[in-house]
Amino acid sequence: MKVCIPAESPSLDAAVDPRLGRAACFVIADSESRQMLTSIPNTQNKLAAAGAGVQATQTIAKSGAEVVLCANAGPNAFRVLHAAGVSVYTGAAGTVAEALTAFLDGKLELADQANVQGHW
Amino acid sequence: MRIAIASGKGGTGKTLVATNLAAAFAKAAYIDCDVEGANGHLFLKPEIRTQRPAEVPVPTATDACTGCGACAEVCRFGAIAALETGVLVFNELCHSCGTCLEACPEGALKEVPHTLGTIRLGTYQVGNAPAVPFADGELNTGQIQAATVIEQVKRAADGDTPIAVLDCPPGTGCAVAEALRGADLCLLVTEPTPFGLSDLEKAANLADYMGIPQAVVLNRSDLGGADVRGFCRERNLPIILEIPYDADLARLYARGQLVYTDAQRYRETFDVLADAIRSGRLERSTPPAKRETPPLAADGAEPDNTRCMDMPRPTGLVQVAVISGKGGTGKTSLAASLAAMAENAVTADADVDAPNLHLLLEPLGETRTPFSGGYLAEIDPDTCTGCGECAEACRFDAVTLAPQAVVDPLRCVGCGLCALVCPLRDTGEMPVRIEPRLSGYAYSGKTRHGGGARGELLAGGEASGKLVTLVRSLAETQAQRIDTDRILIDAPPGMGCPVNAALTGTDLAVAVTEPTQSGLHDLKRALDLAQWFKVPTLVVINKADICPEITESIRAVCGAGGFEVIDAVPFDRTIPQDVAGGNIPAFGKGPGAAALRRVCRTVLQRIRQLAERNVPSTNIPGTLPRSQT
Repeated sequence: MKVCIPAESPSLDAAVDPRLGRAACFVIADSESRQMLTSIPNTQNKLAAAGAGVQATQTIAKSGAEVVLCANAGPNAFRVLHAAGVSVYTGAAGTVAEALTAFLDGKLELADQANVQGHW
Repeated sequence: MRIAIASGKGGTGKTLVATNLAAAFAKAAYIDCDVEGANGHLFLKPEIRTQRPAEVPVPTATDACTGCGACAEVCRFGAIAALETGVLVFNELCHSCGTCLEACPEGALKEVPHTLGTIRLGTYQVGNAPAVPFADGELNTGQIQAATVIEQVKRAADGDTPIAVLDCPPGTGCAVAEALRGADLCLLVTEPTPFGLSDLEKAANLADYMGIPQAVVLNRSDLGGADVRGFCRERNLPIILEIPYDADLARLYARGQLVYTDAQRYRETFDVLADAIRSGRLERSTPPAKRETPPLAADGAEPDNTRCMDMPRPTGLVQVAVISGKGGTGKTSLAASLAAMAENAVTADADVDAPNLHLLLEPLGETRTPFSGGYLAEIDPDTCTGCGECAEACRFDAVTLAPQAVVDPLRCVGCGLCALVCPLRDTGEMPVRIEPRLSGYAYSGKTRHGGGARGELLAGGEASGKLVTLVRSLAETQAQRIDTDRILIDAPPGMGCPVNAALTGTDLAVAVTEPTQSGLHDLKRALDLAQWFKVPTLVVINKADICPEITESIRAVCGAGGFEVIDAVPFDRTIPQDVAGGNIPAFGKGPGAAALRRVCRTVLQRIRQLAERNVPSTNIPGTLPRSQT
């Protein structure tokens, strides 16, 4: 299964970026092998005047990821992922690899709604 | 004749002048354009006859949608997500520009109404005078397009009354530009403090750029001592009315009374003002020179967004926002006092429409970061054929033909529809370019009292939460640099996007209010907002003795809502004098300064408690802080 994690750089050892829409990049990893499959830069959305959450999550949905592990998801980001059928787990922290382990150990929370307000 | 009452700074007396001037005209329509804090109704007590939603068209996909994503691709506001499961539209981000409809190859988008707020229409009556039209509007919480609501309020109120008085919002952003548009005269209400002077200059620049003649009303003209008169002489701005501070006037106003009907001497004052305006005697020798440089293109600096939001959020900070709802209640005086007494803190002046905190904290060398909050269409007159397709398509009337297409930067939202409809778009001669627009600057560095960051939106710029976010990010960097965990945020007035950006992710808010009907009205909205963000909030009542009965009402409202009123500060005319002298208000000698010191000690004590609690990494803006218990 493809898992997407917002990260500060494209590596399993990078820190999880606490922002979703304005994350530096997204690491796409495979949950079975726990390896990084690819990464998607997010520069354009990170610097966007508005709508970063909408556009970044649209990119995630197109990547084929079935699950997103993030620190926080705002209302717009959540709505896109929910509509696209992508599961959102919040509370990810530490490195990308650690977040993946926490997810596989069942330690992250499946979100049924946004857990933070819009970041403005 | 349309007379717009404006001021860069909030709380200078715009509504006082607007309501009483309207009363003096006897037959003037009153149009309240301050849709983030409309207060005119408190004084004119209109009979509201109709109330309807302020709506804008937003796109929605029909069955013909193939999910190609062309709409999402062209949207410059990030308002559309095209997924395999369908197209999602985010109404609050949408600017109703119509670019997506133009881009859709299937014609599969249709527009449906989306509510931004409310428009109220009615009449008001002063004494036995005939009833005249009244209009105001209110922007809904969470919506950001104040300018659109203002435009609709103005359009709805457009009757055949020969005179209309328009009460503008504070600041100099796009909402003010919208309120000013079409005015024959702009009355700038200010006060002789350095804050009033600094903001007067910005408002005058905007009106100059829009080619609107101005005159100045100097309120509380004996408090402060900043050289507003010198500035007006230099700019050839007539001061047509000076109102010295008067405790009786303050009390009447506080209670929501119209001084025109309730105080004989002010009836004469406003009659004279109305006569001066009616007769065109404004003692101005030359009309305003239309400024060559549009304020939105300042000095040619290229915005560099790579600095924006580029920093990882540091954790373990204690962030405190000073808020108020209404302008002019004393936020900046409190924020400056807190900064000076905190010894080692970083301030973030989030009032990017009218930044004033630096006037007291004295920056010692700042780094300037250009800021872009959106796009702007630029049309090359050498290649434009003047066909007019873009002018016809633009929903904001931002393009005129002269005879080539010319873009008005104050109207352009940067949607890019003009580029999409240009017949030359696929040729090498394409005249339209959509470029990041320079919207303002952020500054950061050391000040005489700790570190500081501030933002400054260029006149007419879109009220930008993003600039506030940049300022806060620079403040966080400063905090690391000077090794402190305290950040003090001076929030803007109002309820819109910049206030949200200033409040989100803070650990504590301090609401500064004053005992006036409008202060109370706006405090309630500010407390609602703080509650929405789940930020624990303390309340300070400034100038508490101006109207003791409203001070009591404020205490009651706070008590009922579970908000702690930590202190009351008496009115003290030495505070504006201290501010005028560039001194920190809490360090003065009067009773107001003593009370301010007390307030600061209490707030700083709370901040220490917050810092001592082993705060987990919840300071990321947007993170809901712990519950209020």
